[in-house]
Amino acid sequence: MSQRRVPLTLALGALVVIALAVVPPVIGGYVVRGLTSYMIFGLLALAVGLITGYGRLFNLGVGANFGVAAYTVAILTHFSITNPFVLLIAALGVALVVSLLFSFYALVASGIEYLMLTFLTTAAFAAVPLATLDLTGGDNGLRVLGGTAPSFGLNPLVGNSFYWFVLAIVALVTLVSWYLLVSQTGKAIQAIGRNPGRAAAMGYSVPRYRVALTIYAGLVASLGGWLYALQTSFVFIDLLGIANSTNGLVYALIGGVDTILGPLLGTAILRALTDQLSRAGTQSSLFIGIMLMLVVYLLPEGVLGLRHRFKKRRTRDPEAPEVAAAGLTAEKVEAL
Amino acid sequence: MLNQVLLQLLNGLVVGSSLALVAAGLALLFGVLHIINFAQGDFFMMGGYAVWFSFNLTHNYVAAMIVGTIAMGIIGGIILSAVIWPLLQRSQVLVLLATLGLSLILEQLATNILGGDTKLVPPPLPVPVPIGPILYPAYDLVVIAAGIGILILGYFALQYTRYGIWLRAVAQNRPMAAALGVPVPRVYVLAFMVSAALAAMAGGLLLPLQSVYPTIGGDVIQNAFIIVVAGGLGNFRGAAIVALLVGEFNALGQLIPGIKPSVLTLILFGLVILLLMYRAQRQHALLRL
Repeated sequence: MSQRRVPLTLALGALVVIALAVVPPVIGGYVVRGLTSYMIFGLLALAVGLITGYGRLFNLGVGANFGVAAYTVAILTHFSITNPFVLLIAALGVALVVSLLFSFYALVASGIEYLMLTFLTTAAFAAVPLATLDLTGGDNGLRVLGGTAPSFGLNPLVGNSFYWFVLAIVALVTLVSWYLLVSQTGKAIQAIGRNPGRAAAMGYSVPRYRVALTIYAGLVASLGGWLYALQTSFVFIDLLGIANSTNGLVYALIGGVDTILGPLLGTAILRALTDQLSRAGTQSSLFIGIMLMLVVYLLPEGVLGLRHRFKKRRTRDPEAPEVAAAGLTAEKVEAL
Repeated sequence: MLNQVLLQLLNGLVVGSSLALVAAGLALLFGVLHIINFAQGDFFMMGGYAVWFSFNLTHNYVAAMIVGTIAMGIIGGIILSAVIWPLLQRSQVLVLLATLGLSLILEQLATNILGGDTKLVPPPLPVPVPIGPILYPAYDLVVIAAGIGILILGYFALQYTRYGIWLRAVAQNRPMAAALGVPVPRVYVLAFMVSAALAAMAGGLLLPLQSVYPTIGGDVIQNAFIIVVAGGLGNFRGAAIVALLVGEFNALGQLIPGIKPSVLTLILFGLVILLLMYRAQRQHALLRL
C-alpha cells in the first residue's frame, strides 16, 4: 500500500462506516439484527485473515478464542457478576491464555504440524463442556444471565443502540488492524509470513512477531465472542468446536485472507446467503462445504483477490506491491 | 476385577484395530502425497452405509463386507482423485481445505439422503467364546483378527509386492521414482483407493457393534488424527501401534471409577499435544526464542 493511497483508503473506510451507521437503522427490521451478527462473526473472520493470511500460520483454532470468550461471559453471569467491564476484561483475559497456548505452538511447530496442533487443541476445547457439566451446562449450552446489565444496558433486541455499539467496536478494531499492518510491525509480520528464514536472516525476531500476531488475532476473535454472548444471551458447545473455526476460515477465504476488509465482506456475503438458504430449508454445512471447495478451486485469492488479478493483467508489472500481495497463491503457502 | 480388566483389554483391541485401519489409510496418503485427508472419517461412515446396504440386499454379512469395501474403495478412489488431482501441483493446505469441504458435503448429503437415524444390522455371530474366566462375543474377536490381519497383510504388501515397493519409492523420492519408470499417477490412484477402502472396511467391521449414522465420521476422524500425528505423520507402522494404544487407553480408562469419557478424551488430547510439541521442538531449532 503506497503512502499516496492512505488518505483515500481512510476516506473510503469512513464512508462505509457512516453508510452502515445510517442506512440500516432507516431500513429497520431484521437488517439491523442481521448486520450485527455479521459484524460479530466478521471479527472472527478478521482474526483468521490476520493470522492465516498475513502471518501464514494455518491456525484452525481461532474459533476457540471466540468460544472461550463467549463461555467466560456466560459462566461469570451465573456467579452474579454482571459488571460489563469486568466481563469484558475477564473474557479477554481468558482468551489471552488460549492465545498464549497457540503462540507456543507457533514457536515449536510450523506447517502441517502447527495446523494439527491447533486442530487437536480446538477439539480438546470442545470436550471441556462435556467434562464440566455443572459449570458449563454440557450439551445444553448456557444462558447469559443479568438482562441487559452485561451489555452496558443496551438491549440487542430493541432499537439500534446495540448495533451502533457493535459497529463502533468493529470499525475501531478494523482501523487498528489496518494501522498495524501498514506500520513497520505489520510489514515485518508479512515478511516473516512469506519467508521466515529470510526475515530471520534480516534480523527480525521471528518468534516474537509470531507471538505478537497470535495474541493480537486471539484478542480480535475474543472480542467477537464477547459480543456474541451479549447479543444472543446464549452460548453453546459448537462455538468451541472445529465448526466455528472452519466457518471463520471459509468467511475469510471467500473475502480474501490477504486483506483487512475481505474477511468482513466474506462474512457478510456468506452469512447472508446461509440465512436465506436456511429459511428455504437447506442445511448450511452443505453450503459451507460447497463454498469452501469453490474457493479452493476457482478463487484461491478470495473475492477481493479478483481486484488484484484484474490489476495484474492491466499493469503487467511483477514488482508492483499490490500484485505481490495478491492472495493465497501456492508459491507463498509453500513457504509454510 | 481381573475379569473386568481382561474384558476392557479386549474391547480396547476391537476399537484400536479398527481405528488402526482408518489411521493407516491416512498415513498412507500422507506418506505418498504429503497430504491430509479430512474426509477419511466420512469414508468410514460411507463404508458403514455401504455394508449396511449390501447386507440388506444379500443377507450375508461376509459378502456384504467384501462388496461394501470394494465398492467404497472404487467410489472413494474416484472421489479423492477428482478432488485432489487438480491441486497436486499446489499447496498441501489447499488439499486439506478441499477435503474439509468434501467432508462437510458428504456428511450433510448422508443426512439428506439416508436420514439422521442410526442404521443397525443384527449381530452376525451371536456366539459367546470362553476366554479364560470370561465369555466374549465371537464377532468382536473376528473384528480384532480381521483388523490386525489386514494391517499385517498391508505391511507385507508394502514391503514385498511390486506396487508396495512403488508406493514406498514414490513416498521417498517422487522425481527419482518417476525417472526410474514408476508410473506415479497409477500409484496415486492406488493410494487413494486403498486409503478409502481401509476406512470403509473399518466402518463395515464396526457396523454390527456401533451401528452407523451420518456424523460418526467426525468422532472417528478426531481419534484417527491423534493417531497419525502421534505415530509420526506418514508412518504406517507407527500409526498402527498408536491406534492400539489409544484403543486400550480409552477402554482401560473406563475402569477408573467416576471418570467421564470426555475427561479421558481431554487427557488423551493433552498427552498427544505434549508429545507433538516435544517432537516439533527438536525439529525446528531455527525458530526457537
